[in-house]
Amino acid sequence: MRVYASLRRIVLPVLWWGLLLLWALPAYGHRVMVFAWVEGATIHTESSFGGGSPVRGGTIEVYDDQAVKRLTGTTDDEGRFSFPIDFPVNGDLKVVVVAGMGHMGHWIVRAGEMAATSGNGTARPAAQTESGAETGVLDDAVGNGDGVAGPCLDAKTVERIVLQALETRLGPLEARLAAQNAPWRDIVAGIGYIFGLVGVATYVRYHRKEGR
Amino acid sequence: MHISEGYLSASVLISGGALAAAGTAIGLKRLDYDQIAQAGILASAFFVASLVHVPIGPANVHLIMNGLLGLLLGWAAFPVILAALLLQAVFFQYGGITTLGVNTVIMAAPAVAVYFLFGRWIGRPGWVGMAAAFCGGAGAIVLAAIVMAASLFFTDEQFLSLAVTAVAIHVPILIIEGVITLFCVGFLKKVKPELLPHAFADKQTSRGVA
Repeated sequence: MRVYASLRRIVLPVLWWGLLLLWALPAYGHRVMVFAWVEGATIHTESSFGGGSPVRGGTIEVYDDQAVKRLTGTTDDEGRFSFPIDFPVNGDLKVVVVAGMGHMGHWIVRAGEMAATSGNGTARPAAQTESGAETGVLDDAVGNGDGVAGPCLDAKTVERIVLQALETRLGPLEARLAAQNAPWRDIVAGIGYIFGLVGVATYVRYHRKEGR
Repeated sequence: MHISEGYLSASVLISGGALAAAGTAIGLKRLDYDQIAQAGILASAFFVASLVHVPIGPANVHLIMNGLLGLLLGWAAFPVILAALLLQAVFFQYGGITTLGVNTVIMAAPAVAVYFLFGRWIGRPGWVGMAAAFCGGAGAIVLAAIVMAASLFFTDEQFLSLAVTAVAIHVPILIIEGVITLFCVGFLKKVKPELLPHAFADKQTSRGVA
């Protein structure tokens, strides 16, 4: 009875205030994320705190597959930093963002991405895709003429190439966004776990007291 | 306040883990049967509070609520914060599994500290009680920022400047949490005064009864 009463009494102030504030402010995660994509011989990175605010003045470190630091840089006001791939790449690159106060995140740029796009600038971030990617493919196709596809690409082929490129690039990003957009489910699940722990603790303590 | 995975050296991680384990053991031992429901609700509040964000400059700070937790629970803050941090790491990717011990110490040690510093006064009527509650809520943040700076010190950054920055960016949080703690303690004092840490006043009697 006393447990129930105390439960009721503290729910009011604590959760009430917590939820009130939670609704008043947008729910942002506090992890740091960096997303890197390859465009031609350049790697672009964009760093943000979960929820969208950019990491301003964060440090970007790039490591190769031997964990050797290749370069460092600083993000701008939009959390972006780009660098040319002017060193030999033998495997995946690891892009690490250090946002100070012990916050860091990383993103792996796969060797395949760099190989696939090094002569063929199809990849763009989601925001710039519509205008950018199409002309990019066309220009490259025209310029490269890599044996199969000549300058006489028809609309269908172009569309297929664009969609393919978009899919490979946006797939992981979409997965990330999906994971990010479900905080309520996580909150409820976490509180459920806590209730379970309370149950376990109550059970253990109850028996111990009875035993005495 | 959550230090990410891969940031600290192994020695810091191990000592943090050892301290957290010791604190948790003491906390579990001291956790009273009557306190369990309270501990669970405070764990939920702590777990959710970290989602309330205040964007400041390059960093991004959130509510922590370790002061209120410490004032009401004392040593039991250790197991409560450990459990809530584990869930935050799993669900929100805050901090990480390897840094769990260090993060627990960063947030739970100040909670215990404010319990001993201000806990005995929050039950007092009027101005003294209110000031103690505010100081407990705000002080836990300041101390947490200092402990965090101390644990980061062993990597590469300067302790003093880091501690100053850490406290400075937490100033808004510090005020908000002080006020929240003040209101929560005030509310409890009115409707359920026995939930406040009376251990200082009648430690002997409660031990005697048990």
